[in-house]
Amino acid sequence: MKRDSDSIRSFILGLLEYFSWTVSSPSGKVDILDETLSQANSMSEPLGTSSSNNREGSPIPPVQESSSSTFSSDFSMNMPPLSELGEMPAVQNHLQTVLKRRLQSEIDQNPPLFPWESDVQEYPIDISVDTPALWLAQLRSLQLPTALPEDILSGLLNRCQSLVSESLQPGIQLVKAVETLFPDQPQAMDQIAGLVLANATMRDLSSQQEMEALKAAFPEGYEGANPQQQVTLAMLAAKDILDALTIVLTLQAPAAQRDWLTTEGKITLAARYQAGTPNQINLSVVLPQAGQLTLPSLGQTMTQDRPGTINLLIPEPKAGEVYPLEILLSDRDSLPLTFSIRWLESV
Amino acid sequence: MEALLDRLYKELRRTTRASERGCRDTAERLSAEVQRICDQSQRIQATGDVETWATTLGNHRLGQCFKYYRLGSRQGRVELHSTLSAIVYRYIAPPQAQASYQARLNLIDDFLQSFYLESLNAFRRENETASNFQPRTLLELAEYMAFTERYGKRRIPLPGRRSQQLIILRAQTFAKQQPPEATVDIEQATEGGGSDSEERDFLPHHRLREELVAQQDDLPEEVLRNRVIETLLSYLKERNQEDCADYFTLRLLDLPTAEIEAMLNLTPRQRDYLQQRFKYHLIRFALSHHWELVHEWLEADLDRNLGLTPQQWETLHESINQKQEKLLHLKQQGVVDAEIAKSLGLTPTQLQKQWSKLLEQAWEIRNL
Repeated sequence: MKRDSDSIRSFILGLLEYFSWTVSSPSGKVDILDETLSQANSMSEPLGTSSSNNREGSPIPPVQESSSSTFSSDFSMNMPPLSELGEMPAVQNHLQTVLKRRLQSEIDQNPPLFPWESDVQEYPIDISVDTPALWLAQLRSLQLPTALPEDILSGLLNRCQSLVSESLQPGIQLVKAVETLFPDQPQAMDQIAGLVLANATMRDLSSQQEMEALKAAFPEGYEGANPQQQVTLAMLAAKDILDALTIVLTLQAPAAQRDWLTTEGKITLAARYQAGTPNQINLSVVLPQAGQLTLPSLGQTMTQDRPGTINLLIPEPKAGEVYPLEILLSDRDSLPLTFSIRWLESV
Repeated sequence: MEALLDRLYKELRRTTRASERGCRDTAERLSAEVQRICDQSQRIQATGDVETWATTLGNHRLGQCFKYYRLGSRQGRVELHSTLSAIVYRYIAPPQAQASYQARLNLIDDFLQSFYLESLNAFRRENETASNFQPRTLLELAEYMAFTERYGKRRIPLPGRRSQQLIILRAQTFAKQQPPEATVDIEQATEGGGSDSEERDFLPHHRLREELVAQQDDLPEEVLRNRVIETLLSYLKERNQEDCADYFTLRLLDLPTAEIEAMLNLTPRQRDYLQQRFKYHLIRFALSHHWELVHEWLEADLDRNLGLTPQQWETLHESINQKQEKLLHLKQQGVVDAEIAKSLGLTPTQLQKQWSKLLEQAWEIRNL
């Protein structure tokens, strides 16, 4: 048998040897193994009567007050330095599991801070990228019962701009437009979106008087509204923004125009479907200053270094396809404003 | 790689509620990292199947990111901090000889504070972000936490074909209170090596075997030893003796008794009791349930007459009765237990006990 240079071997050997010693010692100490083995000592013992059958299931040994201290010293005597054993994968994995479990409860009481933090706080799902005041000017004139805070408007505009390029059901579009602003209100969303859409046609007709009445319902403005009201207000605004950014042309309504107010003046976008072979959509954009237009899906860009009209063409538009149009004003280092143009043969 | 970026982006959009831009940024960083590893790793290039690798590595990163995203800002950091603390625990010892559990934890906190800063800088450098980048959204925080875990677990090659996890090397440096200059070399190794811990884990088997064969000097012995330890650990777990397994592990690390008690939340008396219970199971493991494995490892298996010298073997035969003699003989012949039991007129349990008794006797003789 190999003599142990191996410390784990000596560890287990040490333990086992200690037991051999206990078992064979005449001191009368009772040991588990002794007990277990003595049960089977007589080969002629009748079958099935051994109480040790139950031992398998409940191997709780008696505590030996007297031997434990002896054992502890023997234990360390038999144990050489074991530090290298920690490198063994099995030991390492298990140790880490044990430690982690133990540490978790303490760390939970006192979670660490990362270098840039001064306290533990929840992180937002999204941050509104600074939409420049340039594009926000338009939103100040939204017909809403009460004004929305700037950061909400800016968040909505960002969301809506990315949503207009996707083909979504109007209800889903509304939910997606506001959901990141209200992560805690998922269940109310669908319902409110339905109401906002149903109400949209009516609102067009609503009189100045009705609007005044609605305004009275929000004496403390947006901040004082309850969460469902806030969702509703945000969706009403999102609806208006989406409508302003989306142009759908059909045979019945082949032309449309949108105005968008910026801090530099008004942008006017006119789109007209022109039947024929080939068919096409003519776009005409009036910019208040030098700027740039891009149709990313067609890879077309037009730049102009003075205020005025730029004309663009979408040749042979496919029915149902969304054509985004990005507008940049040149002396502004900002994100573009994105409209979407769609051609449907009929409604 | 465009495909990878696109897939990562779509998965992020589907699984998180982060903004389009946020998902795009994270997807770009992750796919660039994967690309870098695939380009730099000779092992991956050698497989000739870079695409599969890229997919695997990409999925791995996404999975880590989602884990922290789901846990959220608070629970995520508890998870990260406890994972890393557990890894470096052994390496960070307070200067006083009497290392206490609590003193160690305080030191570990100090150490990890500096490690988080290091990983933030690594994140900025490797992802080429703005020099003042810091996570601002939940997704970015999750990405940072996942990165920090990966960064800490990176394997740094050491002389002699060995390697070590980066965070452990840092912890060792920290423990020695060496000046930070000493870490520069490691930093460079990190940059060029492209050796990710997971890359090792995912390596195809034949590559792994090559690696193992290359260090075959101590191999069979270590493999057997590992098997004994692994088997003992899972044996204890099977028997619902998880705490014995915990105790065993801590004992193997030679930690002071008081610290073990603190770590397991035990009073000295409870620890004594646990020790007794562990001994009981260890004996049963070595002399009964897994006697073959243990004896093979001790080089005391049946083929070697239980590790006894011819003279000791004599002594054993003299001290056992006829039935035990027969049992030993049949065992050496390789007869299966069921048949031995039948021919000796024993139940399987009785046979087992007789056999343990016999091994026990051999043990005593061997150690005389």
